[in-house]
Formats: sequence, structure tokens, C-alpha cells
Amino acid sequence: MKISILKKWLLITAAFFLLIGCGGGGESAIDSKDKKTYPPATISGVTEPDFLIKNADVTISDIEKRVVVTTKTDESGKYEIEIGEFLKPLVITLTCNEDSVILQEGNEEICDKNTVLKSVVPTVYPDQNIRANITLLSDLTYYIARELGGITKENIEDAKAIISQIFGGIDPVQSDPSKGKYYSVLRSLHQSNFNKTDTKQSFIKALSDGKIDPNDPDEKKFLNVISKKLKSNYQTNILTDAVDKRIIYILPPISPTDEEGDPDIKAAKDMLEEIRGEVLSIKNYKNPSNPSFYDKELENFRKVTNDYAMPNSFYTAGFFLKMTDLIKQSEEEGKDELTSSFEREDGSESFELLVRRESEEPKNYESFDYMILGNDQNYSGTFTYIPEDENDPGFKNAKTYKFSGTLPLADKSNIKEGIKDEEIFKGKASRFNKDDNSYYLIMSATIKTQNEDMTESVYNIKDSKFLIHTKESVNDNVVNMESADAEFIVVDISIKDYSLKGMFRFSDFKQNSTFTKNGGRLPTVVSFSGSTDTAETNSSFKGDIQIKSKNFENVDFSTDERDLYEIRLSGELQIPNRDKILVTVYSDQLQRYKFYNEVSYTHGTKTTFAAGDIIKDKESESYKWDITIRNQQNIAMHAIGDESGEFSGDVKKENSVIGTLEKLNDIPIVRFNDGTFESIP
Amino acid sequence: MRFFLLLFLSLSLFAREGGSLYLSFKSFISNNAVSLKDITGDWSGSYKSPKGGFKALVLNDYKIGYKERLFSLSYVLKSEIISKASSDFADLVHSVKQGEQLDVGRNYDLQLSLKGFVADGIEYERELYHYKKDGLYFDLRGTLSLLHGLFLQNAEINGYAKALGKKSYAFLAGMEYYYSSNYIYDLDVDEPTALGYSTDLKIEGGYGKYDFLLKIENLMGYLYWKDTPYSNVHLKSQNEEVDENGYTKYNPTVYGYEGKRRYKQHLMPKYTAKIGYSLGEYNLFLKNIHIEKIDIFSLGAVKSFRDFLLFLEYDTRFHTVTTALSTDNFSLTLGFENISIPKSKSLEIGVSYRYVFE
Repeated sequence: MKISILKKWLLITAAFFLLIGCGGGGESAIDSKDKKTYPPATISGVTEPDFLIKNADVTISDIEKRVVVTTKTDESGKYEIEIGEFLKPLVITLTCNEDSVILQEGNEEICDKNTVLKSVVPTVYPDQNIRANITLLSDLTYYIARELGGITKENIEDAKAIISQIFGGIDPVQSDPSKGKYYSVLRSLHQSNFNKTDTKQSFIKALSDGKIDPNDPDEKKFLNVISKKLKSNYQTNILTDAVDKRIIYILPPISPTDEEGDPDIKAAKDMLEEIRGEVLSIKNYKNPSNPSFYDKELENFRKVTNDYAMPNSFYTAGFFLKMTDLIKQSEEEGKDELTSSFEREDGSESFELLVRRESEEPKNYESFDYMILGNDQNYSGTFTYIPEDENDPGFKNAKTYKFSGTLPLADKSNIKEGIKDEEIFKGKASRFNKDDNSYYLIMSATIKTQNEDMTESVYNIKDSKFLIHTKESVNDNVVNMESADAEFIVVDISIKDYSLKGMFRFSDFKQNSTFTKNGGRLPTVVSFSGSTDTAETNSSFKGDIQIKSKNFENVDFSTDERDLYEIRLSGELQIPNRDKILVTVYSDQLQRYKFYNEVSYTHGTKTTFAAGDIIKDKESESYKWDITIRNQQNIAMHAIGDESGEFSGDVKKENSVIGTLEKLNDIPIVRFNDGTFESIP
Repeated sequence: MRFFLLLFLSLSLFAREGGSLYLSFKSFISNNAVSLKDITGDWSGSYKSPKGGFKALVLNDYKIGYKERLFSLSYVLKSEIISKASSDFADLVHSVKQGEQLDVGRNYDLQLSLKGFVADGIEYERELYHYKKDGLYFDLRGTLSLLHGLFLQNAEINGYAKALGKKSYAFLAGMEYYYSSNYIYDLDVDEPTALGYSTDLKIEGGYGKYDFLLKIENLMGYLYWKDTPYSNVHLKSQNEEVDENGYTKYNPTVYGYEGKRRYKQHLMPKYTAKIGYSLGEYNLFLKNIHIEKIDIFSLGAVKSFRDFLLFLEYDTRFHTVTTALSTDNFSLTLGFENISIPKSKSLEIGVSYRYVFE
């Protein structure tokens, strides 16, 4: 038997699962870095060049006011510190102490202990250098963000945008305060006594209604106050302009839902928000802090199935078949020692294996030990051969082989990159005849590997069953394997912080004369029942996936023709900070380039149904779709589009059109009958 | 239009000696950033970041009418469109249109205002006062136009953008827009119509070797638009937020409202002041046009020949060099910012003709 046959067989089988991948292209849990190993970020900044504060305390805290790190400004008024808290807004507070000194136009002054200046960082990512200067404008940014509803990433960005609008595009937190416009602004503000608390408060208050309107006498008065002394620099024009006529807008928080509007349109907007959230959460699932990445589990499942479960199962099965064939040959031919070549799964080179009977007489219940030695020293171990397993009536006529030793896997990186050359392999295989031309191989195996970080990966195959078909060569009366059909494979894989438990079942084997691998036989139904769990993200999937080839036996593989598939998925996704998600998918490939799909998606109390066709254009190779998405309130969105950018459709409540799907320039939007519109992404 | 032509042909039947039928066409199109050829395209020509902000003007005026010394009655078709934007806005538009790499980390202050209209109607001008004494003389003339609005643009964009990468930027912007055709994004609408009026005042005179002109167009002027398409659009690239329960929520990148409203459009007053000084056969002059806080200051000279006048003028705002040839009954004006017309950022054309009844 050639292992390569199994390899090709398993690749074809595994290809079924390629189709399941949702989202695609993402980093798997196995490949991504463990959170504990994220490199720290560095936050650094300066105080104002003309208001330089030395030796002040700098405290970085989160929005719960929990102090994350502390440091001090140096002699140049700068600070720099590493931080290991990621993906949340941070507040930086500079406080003067008894050693703090302000350097102002060359003169040193004691810094009043009541001096407090703030700065903010919207989000911190690992291994990032973040600039967060501490100035009058960064301080203002903090207070405006607070006024807008609290220190959130969103509000910080809004506050920065407001400051930028008013002060001509400078970034109040990141721009260099010693240069250009920023420097001029700070100078002007100090000259206008803007740093006085009451002025600052007036400013913040004026902004709180969403705009500064010079038509409002109070706000004009306020603007006059702050611009009065700004006489001789660039900034004057900006503020004077604002005082004269320009309304400075603070864009309202995005909450397009109109509570007073048409209830059907409101329901449609809610549905759109739901869809947007789910679709964008798929797109953004790489971010481990995003609790919406529900397809992570399916992505991991696809990867682990294709890269680990299937290759290692078939490789192990191939090894057992090879060894048991040799032992059987030894038994039948009365030879105590046989050599044979064994092909590694990666096909790089084959190795000579020596199989030697160690015990002349049955050791126990007619068992014999065989020593396996390979010229690759990784292949060594002992086979215990039990010709008849009398203790198990279900295994009548069974011949059982137990192996203990080392078995280098097809590719060590399949278990874990950086694996140590220490692995434990234990296995058991039983062969018993089904009929004259076929026998079963039932195998169990455990492979344990120690990773470089001393964690252990465990790969278990439990009582997995293969049906081997044989045929006798006409010329030399040698019995050869014709095909090897996996009937089911039960796996329990634990790789670092990812686990996969369940049964892969293969059924409805069919033959196709134009398909030359594995005797022309393939399972036309492949299914999985089980669960997956990713500790890193505390997410899991539990359910069933089935892929069925619809016309394997009729496909002409000598041409480019491909068979058609039907995919079913139903399961439950658990994700932190989200209600349980129940999802079912039915995808039927109607023609080579046409798929009919149905999806139901239940999140919390909301269920959304989608059904429609996805068609691939033969010439352009691009996809187009005609899909209707419906919810429990009978809001239906009918979308027709393609990858070239065409997009149209409508939104209906029962049979009444309440909106249309269109494009606003290149952005797909929904235009509702009440005049409102919003983009889909 | 046909109605007005018939009207003026009819008027000519009543024309008196010294009266004249006249027609004139004046057009001034200019901006301070890119060539006119490229401005409606991809801004591919030479570009210089406009200090003090981007400014673009389209001022067109067509008239045909009957005129006597004390009054004139004309059919007028005019358009006034002015766009102003922050330098940052122009820089960003240029970079994006040209596919240039952005200056990572740069903040862009996005301010744009677009105001304009096209209207036709009847214009009646009359001398209100004439003064001539001790070498000083001047005429005060007033104009009343009854207008029919044909085209409207009024947009205000305020926002902020930040270059996140060489080809990407975050943005936050809001727009209020009244229009008869949507030039900011694709939207087909029914064009609105408007009725309105405008008043002009002009003082023209001289003293000794000096001559002067002070003209205020649209001193008071409004167009009252009915069923005006209106858009209020918000754009925000940062559309992810975490709600109070810690759940990630995604907002739309673009949202807004489109509808129809009544809209009272204030016509932009335009001030022209000119003073000239005669030096024999030459007249030297300084002129300033002020509209929407844009000053177009120019200086020029006129040389008198036996049968015609030759003008040369240079404006310091858009650097337009204009020449004109004028006889008693005919004039032709042509001006460019660049001798190579395709590269020119401004263009001025004028033609006028009058037929005097004798």
C-alpha cells in the first residue's frame, strides 16, 4: 500500500472542509500570539515648549480610574513609559509635586501643586509607539470628551475632531506643540488667559450643544473673549472667522434611528444595524478584543481540520496499515525480520524500516512483540501483536496490534511550531476481516508533544474505523490494497489553547471511473459533529456540519468538470459579551457557477433569515447575488448586486416598499421613504 | 427667451433718437489652485496649495435690452457661483484625485462653502440722481431686477480628516446642501424653481483728471425657491463603538436626510470700486471687486486711440491679465492667468454691442 494514496485521498476529503471556511484569510488562534506575550506599547509625550513642566508626576489610568502605570517628566518636560494594557482608552494625568518646576521663557518657577493637566489616548495596540502630549489643548480634549458623554474611544476621537476644526487641523494630542500652528495656538491661548478655569469651562459648555453658533449672543460673547487677545498670528484668523460667521460644528453622535419616525422604517433600521454589526464583526474578527468575531471558531475549525485532524489521522492510519501489513507478512511467510520503505507524509524522502519479531513464542495469549527500527531514528518502538482477541466477541477474528514508541508526524508544525523532538506515541490497531476482499482497521492513538514553551499538545484518535478493500494481483498472487475508506474518525485535539472534539463521519462511498485515486472511491457525504473551543477568545462552537457531493459518480474528472456540493451547518456559537448565536446554513450548488443559500441567524431574541442565489459569472469570474434578508417583523431587504459594484434592491414591510437599496457614489446605502438614508457598512 | 426677444424687438419700435439696443456678455471664471481644464476632472495639472484657502468663482452676465440715457430695460441671464475651501480641503482633494501618497498623521481641516445661482429675468435700471458742479460730476443709478431662479447651489461642509496611512484617512464631516443638481454625490432630483429680486446701486463720476465708480450689485437680493432638494449628510469613518454593555456596535459610515424644502437664498452682494486717473491719452486705474469676503484687486491702464480704446488689466488675486478693445458700439474682452490657455487658472471673456437709433 502506498501512503501517498492515502495522502491524496485525505487531501480530497479535506478539500470538502475548505468550502466551509467563513470569513477566510484570518489568523488562526494557533498562529496568533498569545495575549500574555504581546509586546508592550510605548506612550511618550512632551509638555508645552513655553510651559515646560519638569519632574511632574504622570499617571496613566483607565476609564475606571484604575492606575495602570506612573512615571515622571524629565528635565526636558518629556515622559516615556511602556504599557501592557491594550485596546482601551487611557487617561494621562500630569500633576505637579513639590519637586516640579515650570520652565517659562527661560525662568524657572515652582509649579503649583494644584496644577493638573490631562491628555488622552483613544486606543493602545501592542508594540506601538503612541504620542500623547500634555498641553492645554490635550487637556481641553479630555474635558470635551467627558462632556460628550465620557472617556470612550469614540468621544476622544470626536473631541480631537472638534479641536481640530477650531484650531485649523492640528491634532491636540499628537501634533508637536513646539512647531507651527500648534505652537502659535498655545501661545495665543496663554496670552488670552485661556488657561483660566472659568474660560475653559465656558468653552466646554459652549461646545456641549453640538456647535458654537456666533449668531447666539452668549456664544459670540464667549468667542470674543477667547479671541480678543489673539492678535498677531495665524490663529487669529481662524478664531476671528469663527466669531464673525462660522459655526463650529460638533457632529452629533451617530444615532440615525429616528424614534419619532415611521415604526416600519425604524424596524428596518434596527435590522440594518443588526446586519451591519454581524457583517462588520466578521470583517473585523482579527481583533481579539472585539467580542463580535463569531466566525473565529469556524475559521479555526477549518484550519485545524485541514491542517491537523485529517493529515495526522490518515498519516497514523497509513503507518498502522504499513506496520500491520509487514507483521502479517512476517507471520504468513514465517520471517522474523522484514525491511520495507516507508514514505513520510510530506513526500520528502522515504525511510527504510526494520520490523523484527522479538519474542519467539507467544508472550501472552499468543502475542508477539515486534521491534520497529528506522534508519531515521525517530522511527522506533514496539508492536505487540495479538493474533486473536478472544476477550472481545465483537472483534472475532480480529488481529490487534499495539504500538508504543515514536512516530514522527507528517510535519511537526502540524502540531505546534517550535515543537521539541520529544513526543510520545501510543497506539492500538485492530484488523479483522469483513469478507474475502476487505477488512476493517480500527485504530486509536495518542500523540503527545511538548512544545518549546513547555506546554503540551495532545492529539487523540479514538476507535476510528477504516474499511480497507484489497485485491489479489493476478500475476504474483500478492494481495494489495485497492482502496482505504475512512468510515469515521473520532478526534480529541488539544493544541495549546484550542480544542476540537468530535466525530468526522464519511459515508455513501461512490466510485467514479474517471477518478483514479483511492480506487476511484470517495465518500460523497462528509460530516462533523462536535465542538470547538478557543481559550484565547473564550469562544466556542458546538454543532454539526455536513458536506455532500451531489454528482461525484457522474463527474468526468478527465476534464475540468467539478462535482456539485450541498452544505449544511447548524450550531451554536458562544462568544464573550454576546448572547448565544444559533446559526443554520444550507448551501446548494445548483450548477457549477450557481449556489442557492439559506441562512437563519438567531442572536438573542432576534432572528434573521437570508435566502437567495449567488452566481459566478463564467467570463469575469466575479460573483453576483440576489438575496433576500428577512426578520421576524416581516421586514425584507432584497439586495441584488455583484462584485463589479452594481447594487440595487428594495426594503419592504410585508408588500409595501419602505426603502430602496442604492449606491451613494460608491457606497451602498438604504434610502428610506421618509427621506433618511444610511450606508450599509 | 423668445418672449424677451419679441419684447425688445417691440421696444425698438418705440425707440427714440439716442436710444440703443444692446447686448452684452461677460464671463469670469477663476480659481487659485488648478487649471480650469483640470478643475472639473482629476486635478492632474500643476497644483499649488492655496495659501489662505481655495477660492473659485464663476461670474457670468448676459444682457440684451434697450437703453436710453436715463434708463435701460433688459433681459438678463446671470450666474454667480463661488466656492471657498480650506487649504487642507484642497490639498486632500488633490492628493486623493491624483492618487498621491498622503502625509501620514497630517490633520486636515475640512471646510467648504459653495454658494451660487443662475437666474434670468427683467432688469430695469434708472438714473436716480445726476450731479455736475465745479468740475465734479456723478450719476447715481439704481437697478431693480425681477428674477426667475434656474439653478441653485448652496453647500456647507465642515469636518476633519486625518491621514492614517499613505492611502487611507479617517474622516468626520457634516454637510448641509441645497441644490438643483447634486454635484457632491450622485442623486437625480427634480429641479426647483424660484422667483426673486435683486437691487443694484451704482455711482459713477469724475473730478478733474480723476474718475470713479462704486457699484453694489445685489445690495438686497433674494431668490425664493420652492421644493428645493436638500441634503443633510454626515460622514464618519470611525463607525465602531462600544456601548454601555460592552457590546461592539457599528454605525453607518454615511447617513443623513434628503428632502425638499422652501429655501430663501440670499444673493451675494458684490462690491466694485474703481478709481482712475487720466494722463493724456492714458488712463490708469485701480479696481477692487469684493464678493463673499474675496477681494479681487486689480490695476490697469487704458490707452485712447482715435477710434477705439485699448485696456490692459492685471488682478492680483488670480493673476489674470485682461485686455480689451472698445469702440463706441462694440467691445471685446479677453483675459487669462497663463498664456498657455489649457494651463490657465482663470478666464475672462466679454463681448458687447449696441445699435444706436438716430
